[in-house]
Amino acid sequence: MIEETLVLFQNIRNPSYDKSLKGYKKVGGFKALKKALKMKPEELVEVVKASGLRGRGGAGFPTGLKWSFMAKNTGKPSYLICNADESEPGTCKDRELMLKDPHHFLEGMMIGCYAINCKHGYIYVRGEYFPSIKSLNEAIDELYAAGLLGENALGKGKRLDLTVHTGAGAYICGEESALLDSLEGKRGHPRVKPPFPAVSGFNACPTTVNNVETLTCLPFIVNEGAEAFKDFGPENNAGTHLVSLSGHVEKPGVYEVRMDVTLKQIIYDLGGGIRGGKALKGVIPGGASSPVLTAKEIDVEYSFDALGKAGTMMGSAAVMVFDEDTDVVKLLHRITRFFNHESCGQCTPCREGTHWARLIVQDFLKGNGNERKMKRLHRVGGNMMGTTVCALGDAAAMPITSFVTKFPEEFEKYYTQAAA
Amino acid sequence: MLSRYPIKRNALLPLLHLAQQENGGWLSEESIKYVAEICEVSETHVEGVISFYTMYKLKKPGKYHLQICTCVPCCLVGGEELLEHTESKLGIHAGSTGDDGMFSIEEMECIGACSFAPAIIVNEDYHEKVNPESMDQLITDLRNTP
Amino acid sequence: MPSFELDGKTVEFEPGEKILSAAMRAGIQIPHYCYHPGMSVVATCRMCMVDVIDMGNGRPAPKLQTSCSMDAVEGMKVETMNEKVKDAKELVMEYLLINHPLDCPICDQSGECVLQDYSFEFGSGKSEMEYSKRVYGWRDIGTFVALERNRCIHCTRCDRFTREITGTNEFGMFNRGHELTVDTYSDRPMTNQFQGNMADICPVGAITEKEFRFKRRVWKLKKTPSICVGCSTGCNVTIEYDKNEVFRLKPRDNPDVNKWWMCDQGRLTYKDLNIRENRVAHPLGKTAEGFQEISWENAFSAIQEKISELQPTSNEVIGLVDTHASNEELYLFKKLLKEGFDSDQLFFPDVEWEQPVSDFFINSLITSDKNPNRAGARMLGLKGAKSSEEVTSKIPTGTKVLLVFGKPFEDENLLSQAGNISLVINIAAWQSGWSETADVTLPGRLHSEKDATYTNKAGRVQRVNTAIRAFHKTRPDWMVLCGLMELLDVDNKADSAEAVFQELSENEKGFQGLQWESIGSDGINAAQFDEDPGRNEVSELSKTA
Repeated sequence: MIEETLVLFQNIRNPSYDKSLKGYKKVGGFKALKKALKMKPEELVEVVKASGLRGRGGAGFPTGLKWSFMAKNTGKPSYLICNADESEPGTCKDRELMLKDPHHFLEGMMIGCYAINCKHGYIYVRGEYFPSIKSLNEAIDELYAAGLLGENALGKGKRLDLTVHTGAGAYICGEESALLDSLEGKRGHPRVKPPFPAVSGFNACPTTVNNVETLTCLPFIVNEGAEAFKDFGPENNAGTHLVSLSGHVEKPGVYEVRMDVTLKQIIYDLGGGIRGGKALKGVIPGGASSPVLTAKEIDVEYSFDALGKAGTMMGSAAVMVFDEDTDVVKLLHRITRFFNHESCGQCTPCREGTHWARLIVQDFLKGNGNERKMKRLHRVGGNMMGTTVCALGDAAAMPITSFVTKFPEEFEKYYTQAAA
Repeated sequence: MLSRYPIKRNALLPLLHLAQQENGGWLSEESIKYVAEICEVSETHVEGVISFYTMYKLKKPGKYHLQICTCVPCCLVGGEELLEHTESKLGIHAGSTGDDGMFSIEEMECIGACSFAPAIIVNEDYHEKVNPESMDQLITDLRNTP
Repeated sequence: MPSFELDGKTVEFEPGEKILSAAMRAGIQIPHYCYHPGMSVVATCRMCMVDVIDMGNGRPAPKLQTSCSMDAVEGMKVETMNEKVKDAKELVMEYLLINHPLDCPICDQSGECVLQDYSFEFGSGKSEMEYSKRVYGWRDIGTFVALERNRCIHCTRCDRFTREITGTNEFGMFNRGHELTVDTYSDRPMTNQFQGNMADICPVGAITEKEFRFKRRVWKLKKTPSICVGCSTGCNVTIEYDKNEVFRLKPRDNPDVNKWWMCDQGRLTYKDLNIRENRVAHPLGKTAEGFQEISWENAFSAIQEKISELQPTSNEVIGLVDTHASNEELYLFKKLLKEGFDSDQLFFPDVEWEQPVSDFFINSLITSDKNPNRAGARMLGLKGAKSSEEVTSKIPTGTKVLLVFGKPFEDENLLSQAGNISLVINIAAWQSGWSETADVTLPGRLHSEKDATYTNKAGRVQRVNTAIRAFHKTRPDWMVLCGLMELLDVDNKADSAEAVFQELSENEKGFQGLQWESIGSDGINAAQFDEDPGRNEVSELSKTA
C-alpha cells in the first residue's frame, strides 16, 4: 500500500501551516535562496542539470538543459516566465501550490531568475484562477515589504521584480510560444520555431518558460543537493511528482508521489479504488491529450519514460479514471469538443481537423455510426499529428486515435442499423 | 500597471480585465478605445484580442455570473447534468442573462478544479463538489444576499 | 554562393534565406498560400511542407517541415515530390476544402485561383465531409474591395498586409478556432489607398475588387506588360484586356520600383484606356465652318503650305509639351524644333511635386506629379516653365508657329493668346482646349496603344507595349513627328519606336549606352540622372485606426 512522498506538499499537508512569509520562514523557507545566491548562476544551472529535474508542465524536458540554451551576451534582458496557465483538463496541481504554499513556489521562481540572470520575472496565471492570483499577489506584496523583492533582492545592487500577469481564458496560451504572444499583449497564436524562446522570446529577448511545479522543486534541490533529488524515483525520472487524480475514484485529489509507483497503485491505494465498487473501464493518464489506457494496461510505472514506452505520456500528470458505466463515445465527444473550442485556428490541420473530428463523433452519438466513419475519424484525427504549428494538433490527435483503437466495441454500439 | 512591462502593449490583457471590472463586468466601445489609446495599439488589435479570449465580455452579465465547468473530469462526475439543472432552474440557457439581471450562465472548459469536481465559479469565487441540491441552495443564498 | 539540393537539383541561396524563397528564385514551384515574399513568415497554411532528408548534418528532420520557415543550410537535401509530401499536401487540401464553398462558377478568382490549381494537382478528388459548412455573411470592407468570408482559407495575408505593409491596422483576425475570421473592425470600411493589393494577395476569391467583379472571366483576358502612367512612379503593371477593352490593371513585381504593389487610383486609370468619346480619332482641320475631319495627306500638305507662306525664323517658333509624352516623343519633338526650325524654345510644365517618405514603403508609391515622364523631359534638357503665366511671357508677340504636344498649360489666357498665332498644331490623343484652338490637330495614341519608354521619378527607363488597337485613323506619335520632320527636310532614318530610342541613346548623355532590348520588362536605370530640384520629400505619418 503506497503512501504519498511529501516534498512539495510538505507544508500543505500540515494542517497548522501558516502560509504567510512568517510561517514559511519558520519552516526553513528562503534558506535555499540564500544558498543559491552564494553560488554563481552557471554553477546553479549545473546543479539543476545534475539533479535530472524534468519539466512538470507536460513536455518533461530537462530543466537544466533548457536553462543552458539561453542565449548569452545579446545585450538584451533575459526573462524567466512561469507558466501557470494550467488549463489541461484534469490538472489542478499548480493551483494547490499557488493557493496554499505561495512562498515555496516564489522562492523557486526567484532561484530560477537568479540562475538565468533574469531581472524581472513574470508569472502568467490563467484568468479564471482568481483565488490563486489573489494569493500570489498577497505573497508578492509581503516579499516586497520584507525587502526580499525589489532593490538588492538578489544581493547588493541586484534588483529583482516579479509580476503576476493574468491570462483571459485560452488553453492554447499554455503552449510556451502562444503564452509569450499573449504576454506581449497579442492574440495567443503559437509561433513558428525556430527561433526558439531561448534566443528570441518575450519581446524578442532570450526567455525561458517553466511550469509552477518545476520551479517549486528548486528549493529542495538547492538545499539537499542534486543526488537527493535523483534518489526519488527511477533512472532519468528524478524527484517527486504531483498527480491530479479525478473521475470515478473514491478519493479524488492531488497527491505527491515518487515516480516508481504504478498507475494502479495511484488509483487504488491513494485514490481508494473505483467509487461504488464498480469496475474500471479505462484511464486517461496524463491530461486530455494523452492516449487512453484500458483497465488491463494500468500496471505501468508512473514515470515519463515508462509511460512513453507504454504508448501514452505523462503530460501534466492528470489521471482521469472512468468506470464501467461510462459512455466512451460521449467522453471522446467531450474531449473533441474541448480541442475544437480551444484551437487557435491559425493552421489548417488543427482548425479544420478538430472541428471535423468533433462533427464525426457527434454523428456517432446521433446513432449514425458505421465502419467507414470509424476509419474516417481515425484518419481525420490522426492526420493532425506532426502537421501543425504547435503541439495542440498532436494533443487533439492522440485521444482520437487511441480511443478509436482501444474501444472499438463502444463505437460499434452507435453504428446505425441501416446499411453503411 | 504599465510600468511593470517593457512595452505598453504588454499590459493589454491585465488592463482589459481592469477595464472590464470597472465597467460592471463587460467592455463597452469607450473602454476599448481607452485601453487601445493607453496601450498604444489600434482598436482593431484590441478587438482581435478580445474576440480571441473567452473571458472578455461585450455584454453586461448578470449580477452573479455562474461559470459551470463541463469539461472531461467534471463531465465524468455530473458536470453536464449540473449545467442542465441550473439552466432549467433559472430558465435561461448558457451564454445568456436572466431578465431580472440577477444570474447569467456560462459553460466553461476546464477551470482547474478537477479533483474537486463538479466545480463552478460565481463571479470570482470557486465552489467545488457542487451537486444539484447544493446548487439550488447556492442560488437561494445568492438571491437573499443584499 | 552556398547551395542545397532540392529534388536532385542544386539550388543556390543567400545566407539566412528560407528553402521556399530560394526555390522560387530558382524557378521551382513549391505550392503555398500564406507565404508572401513581402510579408512576415507565419507558416500556418502547412501547404509548403517538404521532406528534409538531410538537414545538412547527415540527419533527416524528424517530421515534414514547412519550407517557408526553414532556413536553407549548405549541404541540405530536400524532397518535394515523395509519397510523404504528396500525402501531406493532399490532407491539407482536404482540410481546406471541407469548409470552402463550391463557388467556382460564380467566383472571380476562378482561373487564377491557387486553391483550384493545387486541388487539381494534389487534391484527392472526392470529399468525405458530410456535414454543413460554416457560413458567414458578405462584407463590404472598403471603398475598393469586398469580402466573401465563406471562401477565406485563413492564410492571414490580408491581416499582415494592413499591419506590416500599409501600417493602417484596419483589418484583423477575430475569434478563435474554426470560427476564426478576417474582417475590418466594427463595420468600419477601410480607407487606405492600396486596397486593391489585398485582392491580389488573397489566394482565393475571398477578397475581390469591386471594379472587376463579375465583369470577365480571367482566362479570356490577354495580358501585356506595361506601366501605370497615373503618376511619376511608373508602377509596373499588366494591362488585362479582352476584345480591345481593358478590364483591369494588375501590378507586376519589380523590386526596384513598386515591389509587388500599386495604388487604387492607379488601378482606376484602366477606365481612361477605354474612353472613346473625348479622343482625337482622326486628323482635324479648323475651317470657317468648324472642325473637319481631314486626311493625313491633306493635313500635312496644309501644314507645309502654311509654313512656306510664313517662313518663320528660329525665335518665331515655340513648342509646348506635357510630361505624358514618352522619351521618344520628347526627343523627336526637340529634334523637329531644332533641325526643322532651328528653335530651342521648347517648354514643359516644371511644377514642384511631392514625394511622400514613410516608414511604410507603399506610401511612397503615390506622388503628386500625375504625369509619367517629367524625368524624361528634364533628362533631355527641355526647358521647364513653372506656370502658364511664365510660358505666356516667353511667347513673344510675333510668334508665328506654335506646336503643342498633348495638353500642357491649358490656361484660358494662353489659349486665347494662341488664337493670335498664325499656325497652331496640336498632336494629342485627347481633345482639350488645345485641340479646339489648333488649326490642325493630329491624333496621337495612348500608352496602351503604342510601344514607348518613359522615365520615372528615380530615373528608371521603363517600356510600355502595345496592347489595344487604336483608332485606325491614328498613328503612333513618333510616326506623326517623323512625318512633320519630313515636311521640313529633316534628316531622319527612324522607322520604329525602337529605332528612335536607339538614336536617342546615342545622342543624349542621360541615355548613353541603353538598349531597347535591355530595358526588358523590368526597366533599367538611366546612365546619368541629376537630382530633381522640384522634388519635395514630405513625411507620411503612418495612420493607426
